[in-house]
Amino acid sequence: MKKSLPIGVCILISLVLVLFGVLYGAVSGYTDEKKQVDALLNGDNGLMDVLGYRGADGHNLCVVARRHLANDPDVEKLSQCAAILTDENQPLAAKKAENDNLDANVAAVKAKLLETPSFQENQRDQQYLSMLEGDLRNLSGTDKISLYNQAATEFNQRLEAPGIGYLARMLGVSPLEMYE
Amino acid sequence: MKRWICGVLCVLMVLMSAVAAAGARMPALRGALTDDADVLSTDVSAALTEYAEDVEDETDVEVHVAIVHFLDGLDAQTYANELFAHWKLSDNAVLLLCAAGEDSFATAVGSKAESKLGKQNLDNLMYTSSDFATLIAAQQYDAAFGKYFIAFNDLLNKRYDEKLKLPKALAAYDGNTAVQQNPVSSLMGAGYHLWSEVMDNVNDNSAHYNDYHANRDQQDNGLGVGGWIVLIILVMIIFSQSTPVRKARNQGKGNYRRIGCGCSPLGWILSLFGINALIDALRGKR
Repeated sequence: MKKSLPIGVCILISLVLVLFGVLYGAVSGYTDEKKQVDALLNGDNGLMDVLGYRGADGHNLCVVARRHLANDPDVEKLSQCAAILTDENQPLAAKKAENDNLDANVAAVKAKLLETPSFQENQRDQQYLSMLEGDLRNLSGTDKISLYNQAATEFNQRLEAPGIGYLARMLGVSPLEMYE
Repeated sequence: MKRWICGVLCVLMVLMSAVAAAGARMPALRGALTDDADVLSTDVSAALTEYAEDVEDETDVEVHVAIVHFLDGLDAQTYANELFAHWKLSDNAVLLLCAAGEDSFATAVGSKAESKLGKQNLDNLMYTSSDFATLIAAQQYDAAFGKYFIAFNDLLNKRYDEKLKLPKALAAYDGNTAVQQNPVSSLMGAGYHLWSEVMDNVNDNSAHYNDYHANRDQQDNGLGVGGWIVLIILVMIIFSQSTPVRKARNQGKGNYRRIGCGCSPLGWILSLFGINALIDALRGKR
C-alpha cells in the first residue's frame, strides 16, 4: 500500500513552498531593480565613469599647464583633485567632494595660464584649454547625477515599504548610496 | 640585489599607474591607423594604411598606429599597453601610440613580433634611428611618422629578409623633412572623435535605464505568473497524496453523488487530484 502524508504535513509543505515563492519573489525583484540602478552608478559610462572622465580632463589640463607654470600650487591642487576622481578605489562621497571642487580648481589654473606670456603665444595650448573646458562642461551637463539620485531615492523608498520591502531588507537587500 | 630593487620598483610603478588607470578613455579600433587627434594629412594617412596592408601580406606583422590628444593621466607606455589589450591585438601586432597634446609616445608589441623585431629596436626607432621624437615635439606629425616608418621598414626588411617598399607619401621623408606642417591647423575645427564617442556612450547608459524604468511595471519580476502556476500545481500534487484525499479516492463507488456532471475540464483536473472526492467526504456524502 502506498504511503500517504498526514494532512498537517501537507499543509506545512505547502506553506513552505508558498513562503519560498514569496521570499524569492521579494529578493529577486528588488535585486534586479538594484542592479539596474547600480548600473547607472557603476556600470560602463555610469556616474563613476563620468567622474573619472572629469578627473582625466583635470590631469590633461595639468599636462598643458605644466608647460607654462612650473611647480605651481594651483596646478598641484588640480592634479590631486584629478587623482582622486580617477582612482577607482575612492568611495562615491570622496569623489563627489572633489568633483564639487574641480571646476574651481580648473578656473584657478586657467586664470594663471591666461596671464602667462608663454601661454599667450601658444595657440595650440589655448585650443587645448578650450577643448578641455568644453569636455568638462559636456560631462557635467549630462543628467547622470540627477537621474541616479532620483533612481536611488525611488528604490530606497520601495525598500522602506512595509511587507515585501521589509522582507527584502531582512534578506540582505541594502539601500543604495546617494550622490549627495 | 639590483634585480630585487628593480623588481620592487616595477611593482611600485605598476601599482602607481594602476591607481591612476581608472577611466582612461581609449579610441575604438579603426583599422591600421586610428588618428583620433586628426593630426596626419590625408596623403600620409592613406600611405600608412597601404603600408600596413603590404607589411601584413608579406610578413604577418600587423602594424597599428594610434594618435590621441591626451593620455588621461597615464604614462605613454601604460596607455599603449592598455590600448593593445583593449583592441585585443594579436601576438604579431606592433602598436605605435602618439599623444599629440602631451608630445609623448610609446610602442606596445605582441610576443611573436617582439621576438622577431626586438623591443629595444622598436624603442630605438622612436629616439635614435629616426627623428621621430624631435619632430613630434615640433608638431611635425607627417614628417615624424614618415621618418619613423622609413626606419621601421629598414628594420623589417632586415629581420624578415624582405624588400618591402614604402608608399611615396612616406618615402618622401627620406633624408629631408619635406613640407613643414602647420601645427595649429591640425586642431582647427577638428572635433575630438574619442570624447564625442564617450559622450554618446554616457548618454546611452542613461537611456538604457530610462527604458528599463519605463517598462518596469510591465516586466515579470520575482516569481512570475509561470512560477506561481507551478507552485499551485505542486501544492495540489502534495495535497493529493494526503491521507483524507487518498481515502476519499479509494472509497466505494456506489452510493455517493459526484459534484457536477464530471464533463468539464475543471472537473477533470479536480478529479485527477481527488479533490472532488475530498469535498464529498467533507460534506459527509461518502
